Amino acid sequence: MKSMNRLTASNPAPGKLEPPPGLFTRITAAPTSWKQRPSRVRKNVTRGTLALLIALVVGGGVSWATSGEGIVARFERLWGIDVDSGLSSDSSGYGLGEFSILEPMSDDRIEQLPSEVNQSLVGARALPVRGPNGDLKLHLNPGHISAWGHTSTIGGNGMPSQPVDVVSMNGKICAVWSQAFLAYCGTLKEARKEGLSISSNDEPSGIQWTSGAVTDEVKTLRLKGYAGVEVPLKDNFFQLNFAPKKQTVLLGLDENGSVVTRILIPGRPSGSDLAYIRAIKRWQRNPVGPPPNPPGSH
Amino acid sequence: MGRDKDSPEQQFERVFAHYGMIEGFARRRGSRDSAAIAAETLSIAWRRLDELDPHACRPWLLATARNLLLAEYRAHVSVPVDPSTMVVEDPTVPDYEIDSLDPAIDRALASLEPLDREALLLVAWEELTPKEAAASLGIRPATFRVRLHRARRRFEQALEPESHGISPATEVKHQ
Repeated sequence: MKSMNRLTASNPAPGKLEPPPGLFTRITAAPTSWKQRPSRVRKNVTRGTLALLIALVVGGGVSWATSGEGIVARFERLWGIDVDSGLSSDSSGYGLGEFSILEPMSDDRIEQLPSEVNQSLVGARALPVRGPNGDLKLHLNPGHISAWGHTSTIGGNGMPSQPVDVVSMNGKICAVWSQAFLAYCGTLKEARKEGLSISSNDEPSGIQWTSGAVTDEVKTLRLKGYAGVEVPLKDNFFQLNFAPKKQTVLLGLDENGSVVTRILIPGRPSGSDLAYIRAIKRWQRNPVGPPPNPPGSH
Repeated sequence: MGRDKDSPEQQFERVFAHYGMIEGFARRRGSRDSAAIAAETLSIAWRRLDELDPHACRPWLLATARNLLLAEYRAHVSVPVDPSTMVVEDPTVPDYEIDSLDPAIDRALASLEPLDREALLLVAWEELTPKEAAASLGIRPATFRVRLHRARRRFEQALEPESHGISPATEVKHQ
């Protein structure tokens, strides 16, 4: 017991620490879940899958960058829509209990949503409609946003960190990579089972990355087939900054070490896939003629 | 969880009273900004007040603070991104750098596994009961007691050679 007494006596912060003035008021000025999250909310989850990988950005980086027109403005002009229109706040606070990054949405906060996030969410709200002349238009359904959280991923291996958001909208949870103009939406059940993840290629490094959001239940992420490899989590988000040789899964473990989430991680693209990706990027820079066909579609 | 008739602010006052415990916890584990960890922990507690029992929230608060410390810790270490360079980390407790008032204690603590060390410190410094400490680590009380017993034994073994001029790290390595 002598050693334990010595340990107790070596406490580097033994005194009582006081909170800074005004902290209580600052914290309680924000909304709380106390009254705003009735238990019936979870029962009202709409079933069915709406998992959207949005690739609505028409045209490549070079063309819009040299024109001086912002990519969101270009998108709005091409599709004749306003990405900010039809958005409203919803007090249900859906998903607050599962993603600690989320905070309840309010009318004031909805004004702060970046346009890049709104554009990425268009895919979850849009219904393509063909006009009388056969031209394709996007009709935007209303977007009722009940919660929103913002953070950034952990970069590395030559792949930069990137801003990401979680938005709870229309009974779905959407993870949004606003810089890449990508989003993935699913129900809480789907988010828990397989995460909300996407894979893409970084420009200009060419690194294939996979990023995703997991629920608070997930404490550790282990890459199957890579013994001892743990992928860091930050604010519900992870980012795997390389592509494994073959397709595998990222296992999301809870605090007891049980697997609760299995996230698909695609392997490195084959030679024909890489050729297709390069062809698509060339076509995006100079969209003359039909877009290239994906491998195996001939 | 029983719900009192008090307002959310009144309920939260009971949670907020643990500010000192949270900041001390973060400071003792080498946080670069222990006040920010405490403030963020309490902000999360306020947002998720529905899930908390304000009368028994110490384990929840410390578990949340530990997650924030983990994020802080990971943000300041090289990020494992390649399988050949990735490191194996404990699933719940980072390998904190402890800076106590006694260098011999630091060396003995450093020789323990992160989870064993955390079990010991939760009882010795945070003054949690074994039941509370177990809840904070997300393990069963019986499992915690076994871990605590082992941690104490290893800690004493690591500390003992100090008086004989033997490196505790060497001692543990050859166990």
